[in-house]
Amino acid sequence: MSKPEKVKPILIHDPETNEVKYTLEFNRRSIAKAEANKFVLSDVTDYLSTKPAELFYYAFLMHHPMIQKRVTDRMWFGEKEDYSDGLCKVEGLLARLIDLYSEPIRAMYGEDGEGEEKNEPMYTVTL
Amino acid sequence: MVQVFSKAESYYLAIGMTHDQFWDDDPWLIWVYRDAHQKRIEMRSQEMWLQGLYNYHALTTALANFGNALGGKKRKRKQDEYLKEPIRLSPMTEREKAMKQIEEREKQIAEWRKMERQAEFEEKQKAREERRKAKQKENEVTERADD
Repeated sequence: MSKPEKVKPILIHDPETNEVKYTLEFNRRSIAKAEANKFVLSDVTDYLSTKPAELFYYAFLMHHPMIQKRVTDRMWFGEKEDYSDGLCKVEGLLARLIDLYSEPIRAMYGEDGEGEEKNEPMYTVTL
Repeated sequence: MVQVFSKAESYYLAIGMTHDQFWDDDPWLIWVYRDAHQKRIEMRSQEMWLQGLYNYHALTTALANFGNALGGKKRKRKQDEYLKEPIRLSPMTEREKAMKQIEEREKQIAEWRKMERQAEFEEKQKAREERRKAKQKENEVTERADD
C-alpha cells in the first residue's frame, strides 16, 4: 500500500504581524476529544450554524490545546452580525477541515479507508 | 473512530511507538513505524539466513573431517577448515577494491616469478644433464680409443 498524500494543515496568520499564529490539524487525541463531546462529522453538513464552528475548534486542539472555544468562535464567526469578517466565509475552509478530520483514519488505513483491498463495482453506470 | 484507534494502538505500541506518539503526534508517523518494522523483519530474516549459512559451513566441515577420520590412514587427506573470516556483507569501498586489485596483481606477479624460476631451474637442470651426458659420451669415446 503506497502512502497517500498528506492534507496540508491550515495556517492562520496574525492580522497585525502576518506571521503564522495558529496551525490547524487533527491528531488522534483531538478526534477522541471531539467524539467524547458527542461530535459526529456527518452533523457538520446537517447543522451548519453550530457544528462547523465546533469542528473548527477541535482543529486547534492538536497544536493549541489550551485555546478556548470563545476565541475560536470569534475567529470563525467574526465580529460583525453578518459574519462577513469571520473565517466561516472563507471558501474551501470547511471542506479542508473535513479532510483534515479524516486524516488520522486515512493515515491508518490508506486511501481505501478500511484497510482492505479495493473492490471494483461489478457494474458500471453512465449518468 | 476512537474505538478503531484504541484497538490499533496495541499493535503500534508493539512495534515501538509510544502512547503519546500514537495519540498526540502527526497521524502519519505510524507509516514510518510500519516501514521501520518491515525493515526490522527483513533484517531479522537476513540474520537468520546468515546464521543458517554459518551452521551449514560448520556442519559440512565437521562432517567432512569426521568422514576423513573414519577413512583410515589410506584415505587420509588434508583437514577441511571452517571459514577463515566472517562472510562480508557490506560492499567494498573504492579504496578496498583498489587494495585488493593491487594485492591480486602482486600475487599474480609472484606466481609468474615462481614459474620463471622453476623454468630457469629446469633449463639449468637440463643443460647440466646434457653436459653430464656429453661428458659421459666423451669419456666413453676416450676409453674406447685407449682400448
